[in-house]
Amino acid sequence: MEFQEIKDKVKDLESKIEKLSKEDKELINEMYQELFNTSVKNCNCRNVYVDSFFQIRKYMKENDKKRTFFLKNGVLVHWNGGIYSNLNLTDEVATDYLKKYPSNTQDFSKYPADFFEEKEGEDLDPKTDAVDEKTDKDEDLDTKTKKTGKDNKKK
Amino acid sequence: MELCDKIISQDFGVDCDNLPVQGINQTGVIINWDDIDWTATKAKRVGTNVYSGIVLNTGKKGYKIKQIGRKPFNNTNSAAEVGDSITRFGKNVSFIMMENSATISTQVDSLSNGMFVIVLENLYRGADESAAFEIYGIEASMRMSEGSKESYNEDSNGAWVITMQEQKAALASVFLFDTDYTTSKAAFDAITAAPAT
Repeated sequence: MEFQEIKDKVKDLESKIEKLSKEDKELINEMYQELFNTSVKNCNCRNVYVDSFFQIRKYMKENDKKRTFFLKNGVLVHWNGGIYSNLNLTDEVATDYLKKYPSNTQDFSKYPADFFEEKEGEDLDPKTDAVDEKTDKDEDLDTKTKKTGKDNKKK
Repeated sequence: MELCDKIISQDFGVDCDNLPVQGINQTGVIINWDDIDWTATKAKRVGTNVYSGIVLNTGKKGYKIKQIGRKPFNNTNSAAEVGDSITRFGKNVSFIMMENSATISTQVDSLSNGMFVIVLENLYRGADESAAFEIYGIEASMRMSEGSKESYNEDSNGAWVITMQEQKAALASVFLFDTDYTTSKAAFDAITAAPAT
């Protein structure tokens, strides 16, 4: 489903949100999978589809394309003073991060298949840019000054 | 040949600003052993007994264990198992299944024969906050050692009471810690986020 198509369907669903049919719920689940690479939460919660719709609508307002990078669960990415999990990772952060640490693809459950193909004007050769991020974080843990957490907290 | 004997390397002091407090937070996490990406998780090991993250295989997630009451995860403990040649550690995590249904009952079946890793949040974080999130079972897995359901039990009110146990672990305690409490909490929460498909 293309981004614009999702946008149009979100608009159609606005008027039906108080009484969703089975087909509407399936559509919400499909859009949710397109955007967040996962299904709507499987629970008996009464408002789960309405909540999911609002998540979709919020995403569509704040973004202009679908995400293409997703982390595995449990992974945190430390980048540029921020902490990112699957909940707040953006494609921009993921791209910069993997350019610097191309060997860390094992932390990702999904990324564009052609990400490491050399593009004109860009140097994505893993051999030239590989850096041991673990070493950097080990140094932080060994010699750290206590952080308050405010610097790293990402909304 | 080097020995594995450890030597003491620091004082056992008293930090009057951070005295121990008892208790565990009401929400823990349980992870199926086979759902863990062990290669990626081992790469997150940042010390003998510290992991900065537990990475799950694509499409997998951890599951929350929610407790209520004054003593969530009551009877959770660790103890040395002293041997003639080597001392190991046994660890127990005990919880009450707060829901009952046919579906929950199948989860009890899974617990009875499966292998798991559990992460709990200690109320006592330690001065550097590294002791907040404790991992159980990452060495030898947690397996059910007790499971019971009594309709007129005063504490459990008929719910399943489960004890999961790790036997003969080499390490007294293992922690999930990354930089500070806030970051470690993010790593803890990231385990149970909805999985990527």
